[in-house]
Amino acid sequence: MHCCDRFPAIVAAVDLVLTGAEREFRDRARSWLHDNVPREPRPADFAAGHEFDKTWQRRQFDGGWAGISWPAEFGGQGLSLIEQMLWYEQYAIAQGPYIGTCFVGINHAGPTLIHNASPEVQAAHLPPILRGELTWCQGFSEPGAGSDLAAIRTHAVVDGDDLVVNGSKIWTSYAQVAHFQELLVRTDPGSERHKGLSWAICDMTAPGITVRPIELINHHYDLCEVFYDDVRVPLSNVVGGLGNGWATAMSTLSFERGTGFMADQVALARNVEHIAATFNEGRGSRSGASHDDAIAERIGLARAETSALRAMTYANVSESERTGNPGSSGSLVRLYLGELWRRVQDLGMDVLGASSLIRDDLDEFGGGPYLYSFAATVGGGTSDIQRNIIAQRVLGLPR
Amino acid sequence: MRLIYDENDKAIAEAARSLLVADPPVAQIRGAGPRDLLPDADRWLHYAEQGWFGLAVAETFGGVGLGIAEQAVLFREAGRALAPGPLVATIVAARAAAQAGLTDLTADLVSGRTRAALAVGVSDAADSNEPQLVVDGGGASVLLAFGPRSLRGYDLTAATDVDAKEPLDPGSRIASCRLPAGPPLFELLDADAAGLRADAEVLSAALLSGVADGAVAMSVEYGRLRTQFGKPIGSFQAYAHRCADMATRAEAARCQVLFAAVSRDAQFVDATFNCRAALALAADGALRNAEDNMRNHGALGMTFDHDAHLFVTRARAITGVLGARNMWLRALADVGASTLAGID
Repeated sequence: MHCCDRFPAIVAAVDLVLTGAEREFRDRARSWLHDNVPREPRPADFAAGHEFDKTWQRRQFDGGWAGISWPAEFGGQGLSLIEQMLWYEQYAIAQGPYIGTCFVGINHAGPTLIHNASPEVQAAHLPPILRGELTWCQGFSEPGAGSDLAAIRTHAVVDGDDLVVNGSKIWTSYAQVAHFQELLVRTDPGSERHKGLSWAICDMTAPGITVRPIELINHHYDLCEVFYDDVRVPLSNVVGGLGNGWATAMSTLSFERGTGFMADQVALARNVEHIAATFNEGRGSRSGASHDDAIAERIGLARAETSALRAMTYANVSESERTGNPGSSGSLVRLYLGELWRRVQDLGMDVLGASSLIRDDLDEFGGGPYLYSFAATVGGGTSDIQRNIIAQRVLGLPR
Repeated sequence: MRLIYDENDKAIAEAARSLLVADPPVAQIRGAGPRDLLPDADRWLHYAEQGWFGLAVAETFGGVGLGIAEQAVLFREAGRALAPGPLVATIVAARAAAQAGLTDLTADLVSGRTRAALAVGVSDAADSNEPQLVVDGGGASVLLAFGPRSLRGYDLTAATDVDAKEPLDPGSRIASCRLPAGPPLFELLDADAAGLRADAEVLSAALLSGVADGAVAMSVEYGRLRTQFGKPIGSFQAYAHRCADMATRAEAARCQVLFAAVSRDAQFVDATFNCRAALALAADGALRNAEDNMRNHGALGMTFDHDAHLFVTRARAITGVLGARNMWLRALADVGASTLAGID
């Protein structure tokens, strides 16, 4: 229980609600993480970070902890989302590293293939994702199709047993190291909007693909442009059926907006506790009690909101377990998480004061994470898109 | 891990909802004179017969023997319907009286024969002969006063200089009075008092989370029906996004309330934190949603005949007795419990 020194209450929580099997799982996870979480931080350098991510994913796989809620036949553990949630909680407490370049494969592509792909495709792709051997990226957004995803123009024509793709994608995470891409393209030339699209597995080493990384405000190159010049994709790589890509893409997004946020939620909780600890350590050494009171109130509110986010996540996981999918109410959690993440990083800057002017990517809050936090209300659909979904699909307001 | 309703919770919510639909509290409030007892004696007894005041009281004291979680499920419905009366005070007083060994008083509170009221704010009322503000004191025989480390119950029937005031909230009653001299009926200290304070906070939060939900529902209905520029106003993003934010606040409050109530019943170490967090978020959610709902209704929201303002004043009436919001928030920054604790 070494990892809990900073959070004394964690170890004291009462064992009343989990089942015996769940508690046993939780304790095994805690023990394994204690022994195996890398002691060195995830490198800020892109290439070194990618190597770190793959090695750590492999270690989790070898330890029997990869794909906790994935079916056992694909190398997963065959457990429920409750165990997955417990794993993420213990992972955060043990200060496990950010998932990094394994994110898309584990959180988007994997679940999409599990629900939509043929057995052959599943067997070929799912185990290597869990072993950290194959990296994935997402190819949905285009220069002219951001929030309006159905406006995509990258197109493909059928030629023999292949699709031949031309066009471009943008905001593609980790495309420079990815082996495969979830590629959404227009396969029916005369089609408009949601019709005539297909979701295909694109080999990123195929001839005709050009990847151009984009420098972000924190000087990282997590996102890329991808250009396609007569790129051939076998028809057998289409997932969910030719022309049925919109439904497959929505399935992908339901995971991104639904259960994919579990890891982010616990990481955010850890940030808030670090900010609170930093603030409390510095108390008394500063002048300006009224400033401290104002910061304390913001910390109190951030802790309350983080607690509510956890409760929303539990409710969403419980509902997903009962109904089989996260549903559009995941957008409520996604919106709350994104906006809270931004506020927490603002708070962290104000707690740091002058040292917030130094950009350090390895810290959990402060300059680097502050700059990166602007992604929290954009990725996976902007906050305003989440509000549209909530208004129309959760509340039933007219279009 | 129970943050979605089980069959028992659904039955409790459904029964409360159908009772409140059949006899809408807003009609009672609008039909009552400014000094009339709310709810009237017959309705209070009827609520008691439905088990409203005994869910979280042990069977040996005449209660149902469930917990704060079930009481919170019921209170979310009561809050949503703006049900009036000293609901939180009566249940906290019943639990306090049971802990103090006052069997008869507990039974009287659970059975609806008497009520309890709350003194406004945190005070050490016994050391003071200053006038106290009391919310919903009509028909109440016990006045609860939370001190920094105590909960005292006074004989409200012996109070003097009772002076009824004009309430901000048409569904609440407010008066000032002087407390009787001499020792209180009962006094609970430290951990006992803190636990009952947590009960008061999470049950108030449950009412407030219902208020927050009710405001969302009213705005959604209006957004579908009201047409301007040839379209329902709910189709405009300015309106729709405000509703989405309202729904998100309501959902955060709802989930935190249920989580806090479960953690209080299970006596988690961070139950006190969870209950206060629930209060902070539900108070924000109720008040901001009620205010946004007013805005959504335009000038109509300013009229007394429309119900939108009742959500605003009820949100203020529930939170106003529990001290200042900034003090809750500072306490949340200080407590040892962590948001990382996870559920067991």
